[in-house]
Amino acid sequence: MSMEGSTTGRNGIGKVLGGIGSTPVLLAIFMITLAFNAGVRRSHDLTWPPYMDHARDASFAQSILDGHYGEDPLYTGESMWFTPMVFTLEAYAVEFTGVDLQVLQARAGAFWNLLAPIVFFLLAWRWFGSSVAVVALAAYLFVLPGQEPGWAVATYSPLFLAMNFAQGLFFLMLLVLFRAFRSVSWVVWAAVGIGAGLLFLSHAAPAILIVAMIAIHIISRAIAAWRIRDRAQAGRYLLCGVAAGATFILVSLPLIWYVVGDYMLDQKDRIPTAFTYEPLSFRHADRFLFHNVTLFVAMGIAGLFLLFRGKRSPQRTLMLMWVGLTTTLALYAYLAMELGLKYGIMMPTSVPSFHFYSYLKTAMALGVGIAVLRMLQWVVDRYHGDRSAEFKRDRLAAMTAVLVLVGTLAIYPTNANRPDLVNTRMFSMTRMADTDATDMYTILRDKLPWEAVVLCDDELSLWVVMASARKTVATNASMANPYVLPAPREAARAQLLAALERSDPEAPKVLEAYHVTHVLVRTADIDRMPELTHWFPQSIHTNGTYALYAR
Amino acid sequence: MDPLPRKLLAITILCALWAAVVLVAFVPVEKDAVVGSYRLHSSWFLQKEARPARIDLDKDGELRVYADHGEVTLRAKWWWDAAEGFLRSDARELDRRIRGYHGWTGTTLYWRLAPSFDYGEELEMQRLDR
Repeated sequence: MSMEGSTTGRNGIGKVLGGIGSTPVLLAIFMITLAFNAGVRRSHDLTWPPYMDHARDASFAQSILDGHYGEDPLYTGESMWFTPMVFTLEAYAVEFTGVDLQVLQARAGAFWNLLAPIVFFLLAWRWFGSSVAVVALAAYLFVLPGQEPGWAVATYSPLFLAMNFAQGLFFLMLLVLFRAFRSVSWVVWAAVGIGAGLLFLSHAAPAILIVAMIAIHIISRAIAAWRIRDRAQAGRYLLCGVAAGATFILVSLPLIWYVVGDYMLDQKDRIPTAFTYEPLSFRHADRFLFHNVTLFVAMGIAGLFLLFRGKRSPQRTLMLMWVGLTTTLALYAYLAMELGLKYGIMMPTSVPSFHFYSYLKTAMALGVGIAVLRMLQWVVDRYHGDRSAEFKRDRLAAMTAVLVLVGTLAIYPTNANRPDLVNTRMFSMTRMADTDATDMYTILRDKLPWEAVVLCDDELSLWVVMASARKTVATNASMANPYVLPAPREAARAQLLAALERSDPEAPKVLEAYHVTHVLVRTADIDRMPELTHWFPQSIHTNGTYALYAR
Repeated sequence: MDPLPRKLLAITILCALWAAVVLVAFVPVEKDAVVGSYRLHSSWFLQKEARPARIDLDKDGELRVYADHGEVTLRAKWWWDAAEGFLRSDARELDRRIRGYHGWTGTTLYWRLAPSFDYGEELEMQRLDR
């Protein structure tokens, strides 16, 4: 059985769109709206987003709102370093709608992230036919996440984070590559480069995958043409590669202008990339097995195996690259982190390993679709072997629809109440309950100038200061500019915080070196800080929990 | 049947099923449905984390956690947050550690292995008193 168009024979986005109202499309709408309903229910009343990643994004969005795009909102004199698509969208959405930035971050993901399941469904239909697409979509939405957090696995999630939002663009780029792999037109490949650049501005991990796919395809085809002495064809492929590379660089200038131009990609703080999603570390192999010794993974592997041993096709090639690259890069990222931490061997790193794990599991959702269809095909052939091809095709489509419908109904209550949605909401509510922190955040954002540098401890920098885009001496290294060495800043912060408790004649030099203008402390700690008003005599704002002073 | 009425019928059925499953999934869990004695389902893989052998949630708001040999290791007060589906407790390590939701077979409770929300591995709680 051919995988592509295996049941309906319909292929092509035009035919997919022409099939609106058909059973697969109705089922897709049924499933996506169910997932959307769960996402909206868990986020519609939140006023603060759950994670410190959101505070980092808010700091960059606020930098745009304050007219300082290109600057690091947390460290004086440093440059922008994070993929800008999502925080730029946030800033313009706030600018045009007037909605509060944190409310937008907490609630908008449920809407923006719908791009991912919609394009995933279109991709699966385009590559493998409508029946595989509905099964794969059901697996992607309702089975894949299990008990894992929404930032660690690719599925629809109301989390408005770059890693969640970029999934949709990644699937879109796979559709573009599917078309481009049959072309030697430099115009087509220039368009591919633009798409890859936009993806890179959204999130680095899927962009690395797409750029690697482009490079493998172009280089292998150019070498193959060269080997048969077709130099003209080899030249055309090289031209395609140059076109894709040039447009990629051009489109991604809003980021690489800074990270290459200012920093030459010299990553001094390796903590952000060393972050390991615990179940992906050897120490927590039991948790990895808990999440992955499942029917979903078994079916996913079986489906991918069936695909890979089948006949050659562009989608098979792309899936091979997808699975091969995600597996290799996930292992590499983990190995580089372990070698760096344990043996001091510094290998180039880019993003944490869990991003590639996440995309590997998405490939498995397609594998599940392929495996289930192959099983149903077997059942139809077994019991209706003597019937016409049309009868068997209709029977297969009907069985697929019933299976997906019953499966979705059965699993939905569990999926709609999964830990990812419920626990994430609790993170938000915990932060929302700290109204004093929000009050102080508002003061920092509205009363302090852009250049202000607020001395505070690690926790306060994440909990209160970061989202305001006002600077600090040192923040948590996992959320800080990776091109700035964290140790000197952390040492300076420790010295200055200690100087609030006991006299330190060296403190003025350090205060000047880091341009410190304010200090943020907890009111409960003021009693043990006799030097506080010596260095920061001016009280700016105090509430029940926090106090802000100026020099 | 003509294609159009058949399509409308299919859409109506899908809408009805959509509404039904949403209603089932988001029925609030009430305190009375939670009261009882429980043990945790075992998992082949998650063996390292410490876990109670049994948990009693009494109707009068007392919670008892038992070790393997039957000794009570913790007594605390508990109440149920029906809006969020979490057990609340004056014992910090148990506050929001147990959650529940309503599914096709009734209320299901889960025990989160980690005290914090960071990672979500949970074990289903199996009723002992039914």
